[in-house]
Amino acid sequence: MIRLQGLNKLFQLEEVETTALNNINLHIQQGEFVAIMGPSGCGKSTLMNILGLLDNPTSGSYFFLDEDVARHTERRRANLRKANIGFVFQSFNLIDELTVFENVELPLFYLGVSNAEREKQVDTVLERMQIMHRKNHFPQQLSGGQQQRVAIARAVIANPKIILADEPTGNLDSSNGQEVMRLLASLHEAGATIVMVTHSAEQADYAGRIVHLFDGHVVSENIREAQVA
Amino acid sequence: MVSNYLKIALRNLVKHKGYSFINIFGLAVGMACCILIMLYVQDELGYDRYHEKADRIYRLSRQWTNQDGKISLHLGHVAPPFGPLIRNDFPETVLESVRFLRPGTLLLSQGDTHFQETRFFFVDSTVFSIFSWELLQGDPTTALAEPNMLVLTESMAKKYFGNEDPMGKVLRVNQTTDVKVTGIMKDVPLNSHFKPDFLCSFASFANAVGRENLERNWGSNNYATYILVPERFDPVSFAAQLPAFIDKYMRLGPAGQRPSQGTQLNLWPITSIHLHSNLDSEVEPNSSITYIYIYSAVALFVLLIACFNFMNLSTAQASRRAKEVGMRKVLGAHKQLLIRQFLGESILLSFLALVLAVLVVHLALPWFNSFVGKELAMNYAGNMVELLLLLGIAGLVGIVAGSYPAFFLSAFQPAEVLKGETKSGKSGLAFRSVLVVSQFAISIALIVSMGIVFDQLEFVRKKNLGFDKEMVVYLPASTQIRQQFTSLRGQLLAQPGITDVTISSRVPSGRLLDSQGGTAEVGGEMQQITTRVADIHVDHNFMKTYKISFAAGRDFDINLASDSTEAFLLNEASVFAIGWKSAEEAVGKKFQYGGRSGKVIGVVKDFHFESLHQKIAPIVFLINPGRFNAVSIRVAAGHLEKTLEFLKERWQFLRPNFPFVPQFVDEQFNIQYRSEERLGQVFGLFSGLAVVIACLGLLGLASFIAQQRTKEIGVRKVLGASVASIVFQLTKQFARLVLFANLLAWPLAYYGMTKWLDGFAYATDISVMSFLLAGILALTIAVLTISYQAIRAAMANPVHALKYE
Repeated sequence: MIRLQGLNKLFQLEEVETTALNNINLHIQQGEFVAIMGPSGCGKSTLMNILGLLDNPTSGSYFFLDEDVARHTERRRANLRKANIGFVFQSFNLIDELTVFENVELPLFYLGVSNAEREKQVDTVLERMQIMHRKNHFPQQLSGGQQQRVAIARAVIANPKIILADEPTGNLDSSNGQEVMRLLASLHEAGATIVMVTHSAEQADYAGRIVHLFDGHVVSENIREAQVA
Repeated sequence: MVSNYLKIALRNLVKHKGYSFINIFGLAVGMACCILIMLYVQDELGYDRYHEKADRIYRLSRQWTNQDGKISLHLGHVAPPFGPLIRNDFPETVLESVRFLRPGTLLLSQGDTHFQETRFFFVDSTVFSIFSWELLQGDPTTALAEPNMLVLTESMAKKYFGNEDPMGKVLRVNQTTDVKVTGIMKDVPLNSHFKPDFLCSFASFANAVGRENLERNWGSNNYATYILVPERFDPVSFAAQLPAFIDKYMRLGPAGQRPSQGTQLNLWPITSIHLHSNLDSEVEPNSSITYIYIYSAVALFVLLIACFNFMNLSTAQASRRAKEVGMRKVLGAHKQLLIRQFLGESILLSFLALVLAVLVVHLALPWFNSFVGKELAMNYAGNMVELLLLLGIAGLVGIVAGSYPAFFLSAFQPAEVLKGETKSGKSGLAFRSVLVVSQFAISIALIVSMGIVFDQLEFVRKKNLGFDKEMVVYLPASTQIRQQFTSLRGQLLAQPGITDVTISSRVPSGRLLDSQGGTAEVGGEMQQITTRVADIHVDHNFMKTYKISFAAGRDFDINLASDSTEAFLLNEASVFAIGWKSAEEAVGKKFQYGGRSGKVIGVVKDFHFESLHQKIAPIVFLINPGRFNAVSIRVAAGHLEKTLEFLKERWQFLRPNFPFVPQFVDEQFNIQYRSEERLGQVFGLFSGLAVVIACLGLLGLASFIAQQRTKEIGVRKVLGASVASIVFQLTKQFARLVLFANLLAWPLAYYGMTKWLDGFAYATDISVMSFLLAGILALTIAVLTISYQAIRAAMANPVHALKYE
């Protein structure tokens, strides 16, 4: 599903050039749950941005669904993104001015789904995330765990081929964190492909494979059986 | 999708009420100014267009040139023979002509009802075939065909006859002549360059003075003359035929010159008169296209300032929307979609502002109308153009104001903004600074201009005119008063409080248009006077009463009989214009003027008979009781009320039935600066609004920046910075911008106002003070605005600031 070959990303900051990613080779199969770990500044987020088609690599190739997307324009990336990728962020990134329902239906807007169909799908996913009772609330009125459930609902509503989660529990307390992880695990069980950045070894245990990054290199890959806590 | 955008837009408006208020209110005020001025300009541009044949009506004007080719006089009126002759000589080109003569103030009586009327005209019977003035009663072809026929307006009919039918009834003119009402016309529209109340058949006047006299009189240029031309008309080639036309009828000059060498006829499309004709004589004072430009520019500037506010605040607030932009992009929105969304938002805001602006205009219109002396009205239903224009303005403002924020916001990179680290408001700071500088530059330029206008008004009020205009009352003279003036003067002088009395053809103020030809003894021989020397007919006490001082020679002497028939006084301007080297040289020289021969007995120092728009004209004074029109009475301070009572009593005896209307020379003089006063008020109003809007924007921006620098301020305070130093630091940033705005505004205002002052022959020196004061004023207001926010930010407990981060 995803294949990175000799991928590099350089940042040019005034006079200093920083290598954020250095010759990354990575293969992710459909249905996998991959955790990416590593210390701050190792390039995790840069990698996620490239995987999520939010940024282009400086060199190397990136095959997404067997298509080389490394040189795609912003507009082409946007089109691929909205149909295929769901995002979950550490800071939820819900739009404060929109209700739970409106936040979740947003991806369907950009896909041009009809009104009635949107309402049906949003209701289904909110039911699944057990947040239906908060449908007409604004994000500030929800707890962190609830907000992240809404964000996950938004990430999955369009049935994306892959879900990218960037420290999804980073802003949550442990019980809320647990809940979110269980939710991701159940999505994976149901067949979703998930790539997750995390600092926590405990949470990495949910994944079938752990990729360790250090200074822009992949330093190790542990393949392991996913254990559902 | 649209409903989603609308929802977000409205929720944002409600959430950030302060900013929304600044944005919408600022835009609304800017738009309201624009709409008001637009209504005004539309009205001004529409003068005289209501005539069905408006594009085929031309007015004749007449100009005289000195031998050096300079125009010495240009009148909007011509001599009486021109109208009929031009129709006679060019039957193909001039389909019709009409003359209007305004005899001045008349007393009209209907039974015991008496009123003085000034809008009374003698007019040729052809008037209704040229002008589209609708007759409600009477036949336009015959209503003015015979002597002593009168057409009056609806409101005048009501004034004199109430609800009775006025047709066939009689009005008495100046207690001597009866005229019969033969027509009622609708009131002449306000957007006419002159607005008659009474049209009296020209034949009445022609019969009174003698038709033959009228046909040969080339010197009495008091007849506003209009011609009707065919559809295909070339004014240039027609004007080229006019010199020959003049030479055909007028006599050769004293040295055998062709008359067309010294005088010329010009053509004015009727629709251009109101804004473009500002001649030495006009039927009514006109407006000027310059003021249309100035007012339009000012309105546009105020609107621009409001737009800049909008751009400024929207970009400053960008960080608030950054997450939304990022998320929308992540979810597949591309740039164009986002640009559309944000432009849509600003257009929505702009339309909200438009609604508010229309409301403001409705509330302000009655006041604005009394201010500009018009009856402007918003008329949406009947005027699609106006409606479309309004919607156009709102749309355009939305696009102009929204464009930069839209491009700015939609350019956010989701990867950056979604990491939780919101983009600092620093991006676009340079652009925002440009906006603040522009706003203040415009405001300061307006303030400076206002200052200079008021300086000039102060200058004209305070300037020593060369005579004493205070405490002089004047009253119109009648035949009886002229005849009994010597004894009347004695009676008036006996009244305590009256210090002097004189009678003359004119009183200072207004224009000096009467002049005749003459010769003067220069270098030992009589020479033709080649410049125009205006005449004023006075009695022996004129100079004394008006306190005009002498440069040489003596005043008229009541004890010298010859002074009444062969003495002349000149002003200094005429001495030099005629060719003498000094006032002393002129005294005693032989002088001939308008058929009178004699000697120059004295020269008075130059004084301002006309307004300061005009250079002091050469003037000759002579005693000629036949031309006396006005009695001037100088009153001692503190005696005004009693004296007026006394005068009223006397005048009712001298001129029974005439209303007693005393006028004051100083007031008449000041009236001449009315359009400048209005300009000053307009500048005052609009620069005030501009400053308020600019400050609103600054307030918003300052509060935003203070908020953004909360952390920095916290850290500084932890490290020991004082409140004062922080306030200074925050304020400095903006103060610098305002100072820089001054540098832009000053040359701009200087250039503009120098041009404006060119319209005066005597103008104040542009003082540095106006500039400095405007700069200081703007800076003070700006600093006060900012420091409120700065102090609040600086006083906050740093612990909260740092914990918050």
